[in-house]
Amino acid sequence: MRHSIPCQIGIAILPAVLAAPVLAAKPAAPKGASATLAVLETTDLHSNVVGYDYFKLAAEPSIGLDRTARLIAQAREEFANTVLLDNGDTIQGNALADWQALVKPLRCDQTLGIYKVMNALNYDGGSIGNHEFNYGLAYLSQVTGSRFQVAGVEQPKRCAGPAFPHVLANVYSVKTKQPIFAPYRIIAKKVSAQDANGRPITATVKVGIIGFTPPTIMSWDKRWLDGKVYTTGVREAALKYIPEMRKKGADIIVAIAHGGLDASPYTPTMENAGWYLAQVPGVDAMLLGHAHQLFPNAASTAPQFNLAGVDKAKGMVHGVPTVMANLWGKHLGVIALQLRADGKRWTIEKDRTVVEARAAQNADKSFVAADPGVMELIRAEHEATIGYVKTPVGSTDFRMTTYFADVGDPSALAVVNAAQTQYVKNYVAANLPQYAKLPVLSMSAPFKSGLAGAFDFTDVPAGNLALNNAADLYLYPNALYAVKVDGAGLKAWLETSARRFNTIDPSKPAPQELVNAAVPSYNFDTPTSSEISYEIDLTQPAGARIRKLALRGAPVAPDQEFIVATNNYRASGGGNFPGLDGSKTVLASPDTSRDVLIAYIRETRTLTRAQHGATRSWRFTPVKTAGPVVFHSAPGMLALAREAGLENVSQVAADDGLGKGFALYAVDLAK
Amino acid sequence: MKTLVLALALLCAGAAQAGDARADYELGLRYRNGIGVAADPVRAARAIEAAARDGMPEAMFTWSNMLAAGEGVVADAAEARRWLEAAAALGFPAALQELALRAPDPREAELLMRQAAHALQHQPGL
Repeated sequence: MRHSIPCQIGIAILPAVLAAPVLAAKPAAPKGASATLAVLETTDLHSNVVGYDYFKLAAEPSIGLDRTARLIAQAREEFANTVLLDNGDTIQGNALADWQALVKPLRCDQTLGIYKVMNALNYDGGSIGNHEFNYGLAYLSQVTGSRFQVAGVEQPKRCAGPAFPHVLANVYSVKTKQPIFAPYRIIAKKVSAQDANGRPITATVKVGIIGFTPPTIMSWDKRWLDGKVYTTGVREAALKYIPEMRKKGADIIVAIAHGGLDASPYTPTMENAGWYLAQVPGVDAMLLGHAHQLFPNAASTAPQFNLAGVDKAKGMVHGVPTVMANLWGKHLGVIALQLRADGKRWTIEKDRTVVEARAAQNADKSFVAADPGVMELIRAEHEATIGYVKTPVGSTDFRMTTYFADVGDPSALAVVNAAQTQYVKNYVAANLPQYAKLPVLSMSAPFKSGLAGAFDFTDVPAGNLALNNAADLYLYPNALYAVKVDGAGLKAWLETSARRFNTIDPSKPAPQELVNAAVPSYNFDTPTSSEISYEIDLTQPAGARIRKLALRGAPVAPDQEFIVATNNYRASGGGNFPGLDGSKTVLASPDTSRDVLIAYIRETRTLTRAQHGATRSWRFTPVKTAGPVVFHSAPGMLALAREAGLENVSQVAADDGLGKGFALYAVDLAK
Repeated sequence: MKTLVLALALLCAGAAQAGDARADYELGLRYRNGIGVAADPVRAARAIEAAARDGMPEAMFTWSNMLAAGEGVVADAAEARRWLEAAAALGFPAALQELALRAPDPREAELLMRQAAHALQHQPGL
């Protein structure tokens, strides 16, 4: 976008190009003429217009259309003729997208940030991914400049939208039985070519583009789509429209399929139908997405790329040149087609096709420079999004940290457990009456415990809590899950967590390390509730440390049942906790643990130490040790341990002497 | 007509295979956890491995855990890693998260976590 004036002109003339009478009888090029046409693909941009992490509030150079823009410019310098297409999953996926869709909904006369940039980059067309439906049909209709004729969308006029067409062949309106987008377009592309004698000429190539989205949108976005639209299978849609496109004069047909490859038996609801789509007669090139993979990729071990008919080095699927440009603008897909005119139409010299996915990361691990023009176009939206992420959703009257989580400070964990417990209790009451009488517990673990250095702890100061603080308190993008376990299973879970510690020999006079560094803190799950209580006996070997496990003061029986709120990672087998392998899951929420936490903070308004930072479920079994039991944390934090009620912690040395900035602390197990 | 019959036969065979994987996995989990049967790690390993080999992502992930732990099978860290990567390549969220947690490069970890976040939006509910 260095050449902003040509860009503007490009935008201005694009509608004229699109409206050009593509059915003109005149031959596209004289017999024997040849041309190179590079089809360029972006996919799964997920609103990453600029490379920026809105939760860390920091630049993220490995992603962003601002860097892909450079790759596009380079491809246009290399190839005389290019067609730039986007595969979809474009308008959703980060805080910028949420801000434009939900927080300050786009006005009818405004163009969505990412489409503004795509207009300036002169996209020729795009298709629609599954995530385009996440904000509902009315929003999608508005921002794409469409006027969907579907129930519930009242749109008196066409709103501002992209300057390029969207195509989607397999989503239909229930009301009209017509596709909600144009199923295909035939773009008359003016190209620089050579005649049979090698002299430069201008000619026209009719590029047919047709788009497909995963039919599984009907379950993923049921609340928006049910009763309003329906899907057809990808293969069915291709079989229906591709002959029509040929009849209307398309020289080449580019299938834009938001999906990957899967050789399972075909069904009309198949999510990743690319392997079948490539077998539909007439597909000349295929642009894939959705699976967030890089194709071609000779080094890939992905099973989908070893299917019959797939050439992962050359980028061919059943002989159809195919590209998938990874995600977030990290790559640009390039399919360079060599065309030859036979006097009637253009044909592709198949053996001369070259397929590549070009990376925005250089061989030396650096990244291509961002195109500053992109930021210029969306600076206002970008800055407003940062403002939104910093907006308080509530406040806390205490500092929430993990410096002493290993010795029992619940200050950064209790609010997570409180939020998860409330969510699961509500869910059980509403949806799982058979479990209504079971106690609901919650587990969470300190995600940041100094792995990267003494600065690498959760530390949220007292005061306002904004969205980005919620990301500090819940670092990982887990979804909230709940499992049903019995007393024996609960004990086994806690035993596995307690592997976090070394076995302590009380008679040893020498210092002993408390923490077994081989067990990461994210596998140290603990409840923080007054309902459940237990001791961890460090004198016992791993697997035999949990003592006095009690619910409301009464010992837990091995067959007693519990519902435990946790996350998808743990419930599915992450950390290989006994019995947790998906077989105990009773709730697989679509909500992320972080969103559950945010909702809880919004509702609670003010978090207090008494309610959300003082309750412990466990303590170490008291034992007098001959020597100190030591652990490492950031220096000068002892006051925080005292505030958390940990009287048995002392700082031994402000520098533990290991050179990573940690202090040495001791925990007195006799207290 | 002949083609149609052949196609139907293929379709049904494929569906049976997919059904087999699910059945294998559920059987494997029962033996693994002693649900309704006596726990039997070797039988569990056999059934879960079969489901993993049939391309079922959650089975691949569990099989990876069992290989790592030597549960019902001789421990094999390299094979465990291979199955973990295979499950992640199929977009299984916990596998992407596990790879992220183990990634030495924070940027790589972050990107894997983001992919997990995205993949979680496509998980079927219960």
